[in-house]
Amino acid sequence: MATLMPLPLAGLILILVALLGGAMAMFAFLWAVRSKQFKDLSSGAYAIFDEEEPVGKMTDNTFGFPESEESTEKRD
Amino acid sequence: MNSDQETFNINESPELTSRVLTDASASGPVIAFFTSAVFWLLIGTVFGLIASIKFNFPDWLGSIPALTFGRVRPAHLNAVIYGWASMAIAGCYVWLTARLCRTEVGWPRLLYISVLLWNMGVLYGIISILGGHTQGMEWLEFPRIAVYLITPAAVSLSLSILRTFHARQVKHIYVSLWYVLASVVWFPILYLIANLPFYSGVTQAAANWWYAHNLLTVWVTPAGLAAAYYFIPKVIGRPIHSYYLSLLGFWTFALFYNWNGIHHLVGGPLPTWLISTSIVASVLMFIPVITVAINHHLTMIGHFKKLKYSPTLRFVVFGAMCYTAVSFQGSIEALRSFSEVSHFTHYTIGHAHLGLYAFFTMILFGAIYYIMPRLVKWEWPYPVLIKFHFWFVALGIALYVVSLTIGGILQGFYMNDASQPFIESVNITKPYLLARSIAGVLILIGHLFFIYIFTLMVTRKGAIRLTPPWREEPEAATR
Amino acid sequence: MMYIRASIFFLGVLATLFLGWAGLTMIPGLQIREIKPASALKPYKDQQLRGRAIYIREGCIYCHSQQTRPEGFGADQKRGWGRPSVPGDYVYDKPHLLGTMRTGPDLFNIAARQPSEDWHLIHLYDPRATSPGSIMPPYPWLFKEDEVFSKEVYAAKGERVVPVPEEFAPEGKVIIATHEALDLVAYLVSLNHTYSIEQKVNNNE
Ligand code: HEC
Repeated sequence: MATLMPLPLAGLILILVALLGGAMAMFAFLWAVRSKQFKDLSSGAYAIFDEEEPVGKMTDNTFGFPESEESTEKRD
Repeated sequence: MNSDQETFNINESPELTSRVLTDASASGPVIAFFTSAVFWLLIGTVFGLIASIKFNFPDWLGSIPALTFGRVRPAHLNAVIYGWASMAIAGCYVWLTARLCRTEVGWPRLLYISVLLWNMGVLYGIISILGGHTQGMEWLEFPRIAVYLITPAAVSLSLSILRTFHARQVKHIYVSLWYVLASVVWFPILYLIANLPFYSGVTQAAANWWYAHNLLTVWVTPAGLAAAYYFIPKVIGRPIHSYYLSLLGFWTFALFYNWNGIHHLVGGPLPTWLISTSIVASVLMFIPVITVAINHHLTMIGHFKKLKYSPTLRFVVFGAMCYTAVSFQGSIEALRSFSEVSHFTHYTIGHAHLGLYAFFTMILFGAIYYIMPRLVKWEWPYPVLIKFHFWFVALGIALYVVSLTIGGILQGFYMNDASQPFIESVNITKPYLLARSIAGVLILIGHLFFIYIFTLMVTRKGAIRLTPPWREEPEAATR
Repeated sequence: MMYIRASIFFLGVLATLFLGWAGLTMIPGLQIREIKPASALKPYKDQQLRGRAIYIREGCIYCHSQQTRPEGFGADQKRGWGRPSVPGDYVYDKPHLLGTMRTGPDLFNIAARQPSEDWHLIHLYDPRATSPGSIMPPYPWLFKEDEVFSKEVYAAKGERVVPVPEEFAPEGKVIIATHEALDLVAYLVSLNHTYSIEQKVNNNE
């Protein structure tokens, strides 16, 4: 059957690129972890809040508003 | 930084202003993506229902070639994956990226091109499948031309998002953004590699299932998780419980999930080590899944009452819980002893819908309920219809998954019992397949509610309510 | 610092994807390439290929698998569906049709089980004519109707009459198989991989 192609050269090149790129990136990643590149990310959890929509404020009330205090209660 | 400075000077609350600007810049393309997505959702649901009813009444519409089961089923799958899911993801990603980078959408014109090409690609693909032109592999049915349309569409989307990211005004890359960025880098490459023409025989089967499963890894699941990581904390107003867990979750997810696909061929004619690797990776998926589940649960704890007030929260929390369920199910399903029964049965279809519908689609509904009012500057008319939407689809998908899970397992037992004639494994499933069609009707009705209010929203029609969420005053909250 | 972190992130993302791809498709691809087709396996003939295209077009794959599992994994062996399939059985398959669903039985060796062309033709025209309770769809567009003539007339016209049982045939008509139906059946009756394989291939168990 003519359509049965042998694995072409492109495939081999791709696998080499994949392994090489993969290995390099994995080392880079390990290095990044060891040299604490990801250290200060924990403050990122607050990145979605700001003064107008601070922590403690519900931002979707399509079905109505919670009773009093609960919605404005501050949490760490 | 410059523009940030300026807005600061002209307005007392810079964040609000920049958010409004950000949302405004996203509005055109995102509305276009969402509208297309909703259109394909309707088409996909109808095809799905037709396919399901054909199991109950095989002769129904039996003489129309375009509507034979073997064409309607892939039409359903491709319409919901490449139409609904992909364009809903695109809209969600564009909006999320702009918001999380606190900047305007980059290269918006590319996005309009993307919407156009994407719709053309899906339309061409679906018509081809109905006409009998298919590449013949599950999840890769679309003929070449559709692939050539969708690939540039996906690339344009990615470029625009990377451009937005490049112009970011924030230091911290929020966890949702990681998923988005990883996803837009992965997806076009994955799609292209999978469509390369140099596989055949069992290698092609391996590539096929590597792709089909990885589409969930790099496209569908990250979108669901990105949205969950954003909307749960944002709606209830509480930061995600553990940011480190989310980091761990992301990398383990990326590492293990890539290797899962071949469990679809368990027991098949492939090298043992290959399938075993996939099984091991599938089981290792417990790690990222548990981190996500714990994290979301601990964030929600003490706030479950808020489900009452927010449609977004309802849909997203429902979806997040189903993510845990579907992932556990997936890990167990990959085990040989279990898949000996479940493989080749309707159980797998139930599992797929637990993932793609109960998890992914529900979360995306939640996202759309949050995003649209902020883009259209119009509140959702008739909130009661949102409740109808929720309950119809929630009950529908529950019935769907339960009936196919039971039916599938029974089917597996009968199939594996050589003393039973094969046809018994067909007969035993019939009541469950009927229940599935009923579930399909419920889901379709739910979708009709959704499509109705979505249309009102886009055209700014329907009842005007008093407290649009985007300009709600603090006093109103304590009213 | 930010750029380093960002580029590391993207590298990591690409790496995980490529690793998966290389591991799951390229390496097995190389391994499987070593395997020669079994000597008894013949490439498809033209008619069989045309039939295969119809099998793909009508989406038979969504209900039928083409892979037989080994003893101890399902009942394929006990049901007599043929020895476990091996990679060498599939070298001429493009696209592959392994399938993941068995709403209907596995078809990898259907020809060994059901060699009758007439059976297949009737079954495709109306599955319930041969298999009561079946939920397989009918494929009437692969057939056409003709008036009732004597056998010689059909022979002269080159038409293949399908012996559909009376209660399933339209009244006063005879069902004729089109070329497409004959191609599809030619493909189905070629699906026989029960020949013995000489080399032991790395398979399950
Ligand atoms: C909706 C699912 C479905 C689709 C699509 C389907 N089948 Fe079937 N098929 C079945 C079921 C169920 C059976 C078992 C009952 C029977 O014999 O009809 C079956 C049985 C068979 C058998 C007999 C197998 C045996 O062991 O006796 C053959 C041959 C067959 N199908 C061929 C096809 C072909 C060719 C197509 C595509 C043109 C196709 N089927 C499409 C469900 C399906």
